[in-house]
Amino acid sequence: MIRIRQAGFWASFVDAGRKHAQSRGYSQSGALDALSFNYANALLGQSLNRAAIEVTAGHFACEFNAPCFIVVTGADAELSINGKAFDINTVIYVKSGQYLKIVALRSGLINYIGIKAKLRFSLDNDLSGNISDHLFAGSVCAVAREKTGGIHKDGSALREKDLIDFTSDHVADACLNAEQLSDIALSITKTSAVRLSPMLLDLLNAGGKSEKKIPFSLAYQANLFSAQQLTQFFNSRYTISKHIDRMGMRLQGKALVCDTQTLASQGITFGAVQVAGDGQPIIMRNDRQTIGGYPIIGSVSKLGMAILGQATSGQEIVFMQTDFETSRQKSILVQIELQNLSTLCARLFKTPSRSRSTE
Amino acid sequence: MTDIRQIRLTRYLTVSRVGEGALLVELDPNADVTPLPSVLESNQIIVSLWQYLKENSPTWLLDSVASYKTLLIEYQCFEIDHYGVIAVLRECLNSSELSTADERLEATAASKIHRIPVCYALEDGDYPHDRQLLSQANSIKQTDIISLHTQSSFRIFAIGFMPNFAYLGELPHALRVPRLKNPRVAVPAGAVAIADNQTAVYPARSPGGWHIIGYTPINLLNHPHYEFQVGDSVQFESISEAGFVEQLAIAQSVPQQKVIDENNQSVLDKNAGNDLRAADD
Repeated sequence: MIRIRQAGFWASFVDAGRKHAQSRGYSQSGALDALSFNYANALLGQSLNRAAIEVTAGHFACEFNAPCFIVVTGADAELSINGKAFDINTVIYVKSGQYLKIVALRSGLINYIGIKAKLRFSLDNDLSGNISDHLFAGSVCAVAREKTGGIHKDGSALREKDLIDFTSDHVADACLNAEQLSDIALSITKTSAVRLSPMLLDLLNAGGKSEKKIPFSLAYQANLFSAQQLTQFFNSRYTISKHIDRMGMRLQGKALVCDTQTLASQGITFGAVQVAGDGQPIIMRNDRQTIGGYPIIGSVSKLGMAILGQATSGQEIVFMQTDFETSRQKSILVQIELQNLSTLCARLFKTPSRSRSTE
Repeated sequence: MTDIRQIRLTRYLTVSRVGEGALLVELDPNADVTPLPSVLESNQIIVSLWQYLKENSPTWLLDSVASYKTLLIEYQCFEIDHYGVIAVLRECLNSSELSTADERLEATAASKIHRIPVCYALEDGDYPHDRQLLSQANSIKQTDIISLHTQSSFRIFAIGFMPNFAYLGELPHALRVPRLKNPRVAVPAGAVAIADNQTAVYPARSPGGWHIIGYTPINLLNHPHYEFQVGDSVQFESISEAGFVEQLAIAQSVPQQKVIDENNQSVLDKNAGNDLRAADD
C-alpha cells in the first residue's frame, strides 16, 4: 500500500492517455514528459505505459506499507528514502514502512515515480477499489478542467492520506532477503546506465536545459503564413509565458501575422501550435481542448513535447524545422530502445543474485 | 509559401500529415467542382468517411475528431505509417463515395435524434438571458424565437470546446446574430444559446459570448441518453417554467449528477478568463 503523505502542487497517476475520448469532446491527457514516464517503466522491466505517479514541482512524499521496487525519473531532483538521499534514474528496493520524498528540484519540473507492481486504487479506508473502476476512456489520467478521471473520479489530483493498494509483481520476492533485493536494484541501475544510447541520454537531459531546441514540422494552415513569416518563426526565440498548464503553453516573441484569423473549427492534434489573434503561438498539450478555430502553423514532435514537459515559464524555445517522417523514425528508435531496456531489466529482476554479480 | 503536401483522396477531399501519428482529412477549398459543397454537404461527406472508418475499428486508431469539414485521425505510428492509414481511408471512401447525396441525407435522417426540453421563459437572476436583445437586434417577436428554435431539428456539426458541447446548425436566418460585445464570465450550465448560424447547450458553467435564449433542466454531463455524436440531430422542445422546475428536481435527485454539477461550477470559475482557451465558442 502507498499512502500519500504530502501531495504537493499537483500529483496524479498518469499513463499513455485516453483513447477515443476526443471524439466526444474529452481531452486526450497522458504523461506530460512521456519519455521520462516510459523510461521509469523500462527501468522496472515492465510495460512502458503502466501507470506511474506524475509529480509536478516536487514537494511530494509517500509511504510504502509493503515492500516493492520503485524508480524516480524526470526532473533532476533531490530525493530521499527515510531521509537518506538517492538519485533519479536509480532503481530502489523500498522496505515496508519506508517513505519517499521529493525534496527539491535542481532543474526541470516533473518527476515520475514508477512502481513495479499491479496497482489498485482505493480512497480513505475503503479498499475495494479496482483500477479498472477508475479508468476513464481506458486511462487513469485526471483532467481538472473537465472534472473527469483520476483516482477520485472527478479530475482532482492525489491528496494527502490517499491510499493506493498494490500487488508487487516481482516473482522472486519470496525467496530473497532485503539485501539481495537491494543488490538486484543496484545491478539494474548500473547495467542499464551503461546501455543507454547517446541519443536517448541527450533526450533525457534535454528537459533540464534552459534553452530548448524543439523539433517542429509545418502542417495544417502553414500555407496561410508568408515565407517571410515562416523564416521569422524558425529564427526567433520564444519565451514561455506564465500562461502554462496541462492544456497549453502560451509563448511570447515576435508576433506572427496571418490574414485569416479564424476558420471552421478543426481537430487539434497533440503538439499543434495555434496562432491566436495577437499572433503569439500556443503549443497545445495533453489536456488541450479537442477542436479550435485559430490557424495552426504546424506541430511539435512527440519527443519535443516530452522535452517541453519539463519546461517552465521564462525559459526559451527555438523551433527546429523537421518533417513528420524524421520525427516518426526517431520516435520509433527511442521506443525500440526503451522496449529492449525493459526486456533487459525484466530479465535482471528474474536472475538469481549470485550469477548477476558478473554483469 | 511553404509546401504542405496535400494528398488527394477524392474530388472533394485531400489529406495531409499533421503529426507523426496524425492525419487531417479536409474538404478541399480549391476542389475542381462547381458548386462547392455546402456546409451541410461537407459535413455529410466527412461524417460518412468517419462512420466507415469507425466501423472498420482498426487497432491502430487512437482517436478521431470529426468537425465541420475536417476529420482528424490519430493513429499508433509504431504500428502503421501514413501510407497504411491512407490506404484504409481509400477503402472507406470506395464504400462511402458510392453513396449519393440522397443516400447520405437518408443516413442523416436515420441517425440519432436527441430531444432536449428547453424553457424559454425563465427570468434574469439565476437564469440570465438575451431574448430582449435578440428580438430588438433581429426585429422578431420573443414568441417567434421559440417557434423558430423548435420548428425543426438541428444537425451536430462538431463537438468540442468542452465535453459534450455540440455545435448545432444551421439556424434560420431570422435567429442569426453575432456574439455578444461583452462575453459573460460565467454562463450557467444548461444555458441554450445562439451565435451566427449555430446554437448549442452549455453542459457546464463556462465563460461564453453567445446570446442565451433558454435553459434545459437536463444535465448533459455523463447522461446516458445524451451522448452526442457528430452527425446526430438535436430537437429542442419548449417546456413551461413549472415543467422546468419539475425536471430539474428529477435531474438533481440523482446524487452522482449533482456532485458533478457542483464540482464543475467550482473548477470552471477558476478557469474563467483563462486565455489558453481558444475563442471558438
